[in-house]
Amino acid sequence: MASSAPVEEAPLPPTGWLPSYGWWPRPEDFSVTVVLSPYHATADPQARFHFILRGYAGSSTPVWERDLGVAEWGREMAVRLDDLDLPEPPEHGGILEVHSIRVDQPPPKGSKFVGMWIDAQGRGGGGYLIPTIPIQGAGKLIARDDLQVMPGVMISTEIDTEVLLLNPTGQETSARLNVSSPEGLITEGRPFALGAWSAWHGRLSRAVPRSRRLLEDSAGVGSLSVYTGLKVLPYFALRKGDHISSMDHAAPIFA
Amino acid sequence: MAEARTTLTRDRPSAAESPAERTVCHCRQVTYGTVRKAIDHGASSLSDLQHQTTACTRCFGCRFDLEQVLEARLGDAYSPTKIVTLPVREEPSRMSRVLRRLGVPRAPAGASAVLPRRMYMPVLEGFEGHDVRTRVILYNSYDDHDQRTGRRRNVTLRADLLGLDGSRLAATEVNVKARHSAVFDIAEMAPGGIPDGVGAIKLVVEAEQLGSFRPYFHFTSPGGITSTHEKAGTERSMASTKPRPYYWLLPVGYTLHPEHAYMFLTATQLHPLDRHELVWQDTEGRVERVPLPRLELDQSTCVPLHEHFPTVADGRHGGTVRIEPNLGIPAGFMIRYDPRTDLWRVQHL
Repeated sequence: MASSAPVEEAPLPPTGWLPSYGWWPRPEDFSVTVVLSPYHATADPQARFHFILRGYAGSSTPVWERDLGVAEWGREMAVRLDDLDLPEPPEHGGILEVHSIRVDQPPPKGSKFVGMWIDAQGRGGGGYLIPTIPIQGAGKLIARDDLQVMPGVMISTEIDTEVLLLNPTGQETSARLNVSSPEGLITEGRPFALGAWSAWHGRLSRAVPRSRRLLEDSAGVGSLSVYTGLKVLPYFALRKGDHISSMDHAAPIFA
Repeated sequence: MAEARTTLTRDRPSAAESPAERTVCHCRQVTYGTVRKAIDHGASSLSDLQHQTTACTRCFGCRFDLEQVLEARLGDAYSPTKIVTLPVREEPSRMSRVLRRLGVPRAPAGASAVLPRRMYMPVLEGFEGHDVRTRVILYNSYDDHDQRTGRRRNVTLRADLLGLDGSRLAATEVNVKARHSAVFDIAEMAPGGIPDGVGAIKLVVEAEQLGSFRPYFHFTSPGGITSTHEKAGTERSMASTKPRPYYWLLPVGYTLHPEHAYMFLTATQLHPLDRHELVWQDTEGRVERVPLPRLELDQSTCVPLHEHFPTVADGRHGGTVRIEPNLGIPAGFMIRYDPRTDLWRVQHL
């Protein structure tokens, strides 16, 4: 059932269903379970879903693929990445692609994806629960920067924010991080490149100079704006010492 | 200061004893005195008070306060309201909803106003004896200017702190300037704590202001901080009776260590969340069920899944806990707690 890596040619059947995405972290950091539930997709007992997982690391050709077969409605699946005998992801991790293809009917107008769930527990504690997210219109170059916001980032002596950006598109883009204090003061990091089909993550206190000082008067709490040239998937995690205790996705503001 | 903030209520007396000049309905600025006068003139139900005073016709946050006043005034003659309804003249018209969708910020005369958006999040303050606190953060990301006034757009909202029974424990109004953030520490809103250490915060925002921000919240504990955001930011009906085309659920993955797991739900609709149950189904097809308590608008529950379904928490089983039937629109959150590291994880459903 599992195909060997790398996957030279996409073997997916033609479908209008879009995949959704998540982070493929390094296995020494997190134990990741992908929870695949037809209940989360539909209430139609006739539904059947073909589930396929793929991993990307800097190229539009996936470095691994696991075909999990077709699940009837009424069945739950939980797949631990540790059990899939995967290759090593890059230093910043890679991109996990989750295909939930409803095989008994095409997607309805306006809702062409089915998001699933990631339950990740840190090897040293902490972790995150997060839905997989589609990236509709990913290939569109937009006239102005795409802006997504993350209220509640923290930079203090104890807590730092880990920013994670996923670019599940075939084009390199640029990203710019901008931290603001509750009073509206701003400090900005240098723009940096985000490779095609790549993940980037880093500590906010290092990525945006003077951000720790900026948030000193607000107990370390502020907000982050992420500007990118293409639609990407930004996440933020709160880190205490070596442990990422949570992760959440950004809020698009043009919705 | 990032924002102008007004404490509307905090550690107040019970609704039945509140002074006449105190405001009970913050949306319509109706006082307790006005409500008592209406009852003395024959109002005997929430519906009567809605018609006679306009109280409780926008966000419904004063519903339980008004019922307390009715009960105190009428005694056994008062029958509590089971389902909150909106007076016909207060219902948002089809025209106002269409105008809203077209981007017209304010409905013209003759088209009843669009109801404000209500956004709910769980609050943990010393829950089950744990050193856990809650903080809410809002960011007003408007960067453009209001075309009419030429000013940058501020956002005004009200934060109601609710007990699990829906009663309002405290209320604060805040005005957030463009490109500024507001931070609410729940311990400051309710210095005396909240009953059972668990409740909900409800943000009430005018619909046309909502597009600029989404609230996030933190649970902080000695082990670290977890964060997620409110989910119900989109426009939705308050009286939906249609089944959702899918089920809301809590995913259960394999974990390295056992964890506690909770399902937190707040009823957000005029109709109660009734006869619902939580269904744990693992990957082997084993199914267990537990009924949910009946929840009326603004009431919440925090169900300890690890007590009802021990295999959810042992780390050796995968599957989901779903809400059945797929009716109603609660604000739902999944909460996990690792006692080994004193860390919480939270995510919206």
